[in-house]
Amino acid sequence: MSRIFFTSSIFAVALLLFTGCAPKVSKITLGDYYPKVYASNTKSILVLPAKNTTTSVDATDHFRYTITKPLAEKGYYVYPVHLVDSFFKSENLSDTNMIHSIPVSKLNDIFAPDAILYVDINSWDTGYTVATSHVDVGLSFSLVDAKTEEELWQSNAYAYSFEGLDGNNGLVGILVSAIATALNTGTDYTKLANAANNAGISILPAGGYNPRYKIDKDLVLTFSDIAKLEDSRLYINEYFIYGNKQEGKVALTINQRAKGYFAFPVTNMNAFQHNGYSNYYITQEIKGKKYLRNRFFLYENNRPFLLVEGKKVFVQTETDGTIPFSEEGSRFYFNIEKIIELNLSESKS
Amino acid sequence: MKKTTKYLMVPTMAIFLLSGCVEQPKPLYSWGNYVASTGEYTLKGHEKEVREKHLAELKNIIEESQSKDMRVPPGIYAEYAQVLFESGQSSEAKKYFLLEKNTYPESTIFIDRVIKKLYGDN
Repeated sequence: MSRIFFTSSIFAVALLLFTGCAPKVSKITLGDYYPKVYASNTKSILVLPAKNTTTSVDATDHFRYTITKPLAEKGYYVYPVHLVDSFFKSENLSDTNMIHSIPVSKLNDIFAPDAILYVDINSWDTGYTVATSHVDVGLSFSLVDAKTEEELWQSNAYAYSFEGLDGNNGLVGILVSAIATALNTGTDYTKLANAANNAGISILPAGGYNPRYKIDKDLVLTFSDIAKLEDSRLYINEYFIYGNKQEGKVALTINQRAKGYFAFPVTNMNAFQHNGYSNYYITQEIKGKKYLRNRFFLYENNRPFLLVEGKKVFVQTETDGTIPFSEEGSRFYFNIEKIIELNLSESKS
Repeated sequence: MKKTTKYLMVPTMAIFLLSGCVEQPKPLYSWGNYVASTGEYTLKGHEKEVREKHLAELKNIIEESQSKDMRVPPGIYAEYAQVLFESGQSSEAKKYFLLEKNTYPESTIFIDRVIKKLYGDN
């Protein structure tokens, strides 16, 4: 799979799918994807205020009040966010960093939830050209069992709003989109946050109030493979390693936008503008410990993996959590720690 | 400019990134205009007018859920109770704190703690 393929537009990719030159896909059941959720019997969730690890976003409130509905619709009891926040405030806890570092055992004493959801806003990009304006946001979700303090589930989501000129709007349209971005209007952020939360939660297994509780473990998800297993190595394309080769901090932005508000769980970084996976580490705090994580990988038991050929392929890391790559000729690969074969492990071409 | 809201990318994107989760299941609850209303309350809850509007919306969600024989969504009774309390209707508020607890026993430990904090031991 060449780099040209990955940097081509989504629509070209879709075209490839339908013309038979499709990339390999991995099929995986929700039960195999998130086994710990099914083992945990989680029915109630305490959501902590979203922590903003970017320098520019001031919309964390919007992510807070838009999360109740999708989580509740998934079938979970969600502790009332305003009441939770007022309670924290009455205990002199209004700083999100402080709240995120409260020991799980303490939260368990106060709220007695089955699980705690940590939300991190870790990528934010906003801007406009003469004809368009956009806001792009990246989120990470981490669900931690309140009793065992194990991470049960994690997910990355991405959302954007994009406004472009309609053909004949002329100068008025230009001014309107520029102003809309400059003012950062509340309505926009509500829609954006709502979409982002919905997307993040969309792959969370159902909770006890949902008739699909436990039944949805057989739901089959299909992912396109972004790496290749060969000679006990995990080969990856150059775009994953170096991206667009821009210097400095590059915010994640989708290669091609449509007008409106869109969001989805992120599993394929080739659809994004970025400058290589090694620039996207985030520090996630779980049960009082800090973990270095890479946004391009999925995690289970704090170990990074990619889905390849229907298997969970865990890669080796340094002790600090960074993931080194190796180079051989013009090819790039990760060393494999272990491979978990899944039931539906046949790959389709 | 017409805006469209979609929670998943255009169909081609959905196929490419993830499929199998795109069907929309039947809603479990009736939410009315909750998201917009609670958003306004979050940002401007100190204004009496906004509080009153939000109270009316929460009451509407409760009544609509009851009329449809649906469970009131998680947290709605508690939020109604909280806004009532903030509006000075503390005894009415207590009824709804208790309703949250009765509807969702998972909330018992937290709601009891809140009640103790707001009303003392009696």
